[in-house]
Amino acid sequence: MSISLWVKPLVLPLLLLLLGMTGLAWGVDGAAPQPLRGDYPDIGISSRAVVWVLAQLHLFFGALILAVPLFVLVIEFLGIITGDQRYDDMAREFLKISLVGFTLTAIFGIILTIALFGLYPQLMSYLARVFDGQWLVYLGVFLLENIFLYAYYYSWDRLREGRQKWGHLGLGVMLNLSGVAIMVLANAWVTFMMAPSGITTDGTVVGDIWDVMHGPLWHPMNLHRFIANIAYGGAVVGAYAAFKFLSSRDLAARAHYDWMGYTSNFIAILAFLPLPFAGYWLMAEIYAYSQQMGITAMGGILAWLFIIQAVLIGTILLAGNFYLWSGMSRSEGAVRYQWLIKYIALVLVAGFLVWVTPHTLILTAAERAALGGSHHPVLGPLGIMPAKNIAVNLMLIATFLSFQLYRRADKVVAVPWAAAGNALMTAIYLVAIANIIFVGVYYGYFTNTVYKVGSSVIQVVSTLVVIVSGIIIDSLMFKNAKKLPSHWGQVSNRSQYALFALPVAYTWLMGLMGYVRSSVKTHWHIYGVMKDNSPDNYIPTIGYAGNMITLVTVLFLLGLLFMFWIADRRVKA
Amino acid sequence: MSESRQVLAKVLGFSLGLIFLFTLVTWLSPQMEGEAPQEQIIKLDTLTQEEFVTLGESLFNGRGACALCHQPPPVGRAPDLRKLNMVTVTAERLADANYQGEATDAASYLRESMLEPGRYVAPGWGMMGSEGVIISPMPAVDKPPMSLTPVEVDAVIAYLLVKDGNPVTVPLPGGEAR
Repeated sequence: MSISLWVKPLVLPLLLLLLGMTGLAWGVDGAAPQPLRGDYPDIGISSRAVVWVLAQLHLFFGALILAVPLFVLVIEFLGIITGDQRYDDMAREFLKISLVGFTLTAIFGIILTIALFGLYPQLMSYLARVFDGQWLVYLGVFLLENIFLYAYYYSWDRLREGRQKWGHLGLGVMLNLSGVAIMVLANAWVTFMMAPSGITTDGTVVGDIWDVMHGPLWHPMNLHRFIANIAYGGAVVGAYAAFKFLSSRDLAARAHYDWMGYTSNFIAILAFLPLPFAGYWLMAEIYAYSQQMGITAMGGILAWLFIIQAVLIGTILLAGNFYLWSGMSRSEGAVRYQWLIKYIALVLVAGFLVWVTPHTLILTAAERAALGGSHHPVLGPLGIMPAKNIAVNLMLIATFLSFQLYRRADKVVAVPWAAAGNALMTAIYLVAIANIIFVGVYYGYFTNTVYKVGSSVIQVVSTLVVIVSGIIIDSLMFKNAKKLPSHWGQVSNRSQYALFALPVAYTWLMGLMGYVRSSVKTHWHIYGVMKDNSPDNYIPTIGYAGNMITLVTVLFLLGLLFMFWIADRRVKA
Repeated sequence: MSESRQVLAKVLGFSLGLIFLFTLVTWLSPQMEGEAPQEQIIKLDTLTQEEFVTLGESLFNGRGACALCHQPPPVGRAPDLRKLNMVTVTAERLADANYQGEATDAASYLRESMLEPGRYVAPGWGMMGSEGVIISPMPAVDKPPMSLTPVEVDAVIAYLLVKDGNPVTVPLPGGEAR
């Protein structure tokens, strides 16, 4: 083991520690500082743009290195349970790939920290003061994560057999626990800026560190990011497998990477399905904390952004479903279910069209006169949340149906109660769909706000009932089912492009949501406590944001290619 | 070109094309900037009633953030004040058996609603609080992030009264009572 191996995990935290201590030194007691325009360093270009790019790159790589070990842990566990060596090989291959990601994350983290302290010194000194010794905890956990990472990776062969394998899995658990702890700590800083707690209205700290961390948005953000990371990890790993599949002519290799792509997509889609519900919770907490903040996001200047979000999530769902439908060609048993695909596609496309329908149209005076207002008489009602809630829930149910059919395609049911089981499953689907549409239309259009918001909870529960009951019924019904042969590697090349669409759309979506999360604070560094008086204290246009998100997404993709290239060189070496 | 490089070129082309498509949607969307409220210096002692009402209207639509919620249905999450005559509405609210406040006229009712929104929740516009109690979702406007001053609260009241031709019953900041 080389010295550099030990130097890297030690040097980076020490640098961060130094910066953290510098921040503490700048702090003073009492209220939050209120910097004036002239107090912000002028570097000739937008400070916000600099921080935007660095923060987003740090977050992309951070999400990846939290996601991949989680993904690797799940895969290694599946390998132990099933005894299938392919899982273990795949898990190791991916941990190897992510090693460079840890270094890139740390590098961007350090540059970001320097940029933040340099460009927003008053804000950072205040945050350093509020979070006090938590910086040290963060650095300690960061160090632990590095130690567990290297221990986990380098002990893979040594702890391969028997009970030792469980010990190795334990190292993976510790690696993931420290990774999640890092995420949770960083989330506390972000949510404190959105919905501060443990301080007075002038920013004086009155609570302990737990009061400061434990703001109203902390738990929803933790859950949302945790689930999203699993889906993101699956999507990135799937893209790697798709690339390997397309560039390989060897049948065995194609079969391996086809299987790898399938497994990754399986995890990505399964994790993605509950993600909107975590998003609902986060948004509901934002509304509960501040109506103004919620409406700024959903009904104010940022409202159009959710049309773009619809395009992105529509892309993810269509790509994910297309991959599942294409993958059904691997098994002859899929013929039984193929007639359903056109109906699923219809629901997805109709749902997508409802979701992208804007409420208010930007019109010329002549167009407005011809239309009789800025709202289209027929399409206008589709532009508001009740219609979109119906669309999203139906799209999720349709995606779960694709998922369920895919899982059933290579099996022949053996239990005597199969007909009753299928009837029950069909009834659950029909009742849930009817419930989602009825509740959405009745409460969304014919009652007032109190019930309107509450109705989305009923819809979410309906969708979750379908997903949970579907998993339970299928696991019981197909427990000892006859397995039909699956021809790995025989899937179409076209289907692999769906696996590239997923991480691209995920990454862009994460960038977009970062823009929303930061913009809902409007002209505040810390909402309601510390004003942002910098030259960038306005919400930029969606076009500008789109350019920035594209820039960071392309930079991230280049970083990913670099990561894969290094990993490939290591394998060859 | 090797097999891998050909695949790489295709994959990059596909990914960049998709990214461009997403960016294109943002370019085609309405381009609006969310300006931070500008500091305004107003000479209170020489403020005319017309200027006072204009200040109230700009606060209603801007820093006061009233117009975010007080919009026409189905988007609005609070009564559409621009469509309601507040003197008429106040008379109805004060006569409501559920009214628990201390207001006696439109101006005092509006002030009470802005500073203590929980005193009375307009029927159908509350949200479910703990133990099934209906609470007001509206924040107090004199608290952050709006932090309206007493003069600014009066300006908003003046605007809400004048827009329907009602007389202004709040004092001008210069001290002149009307």
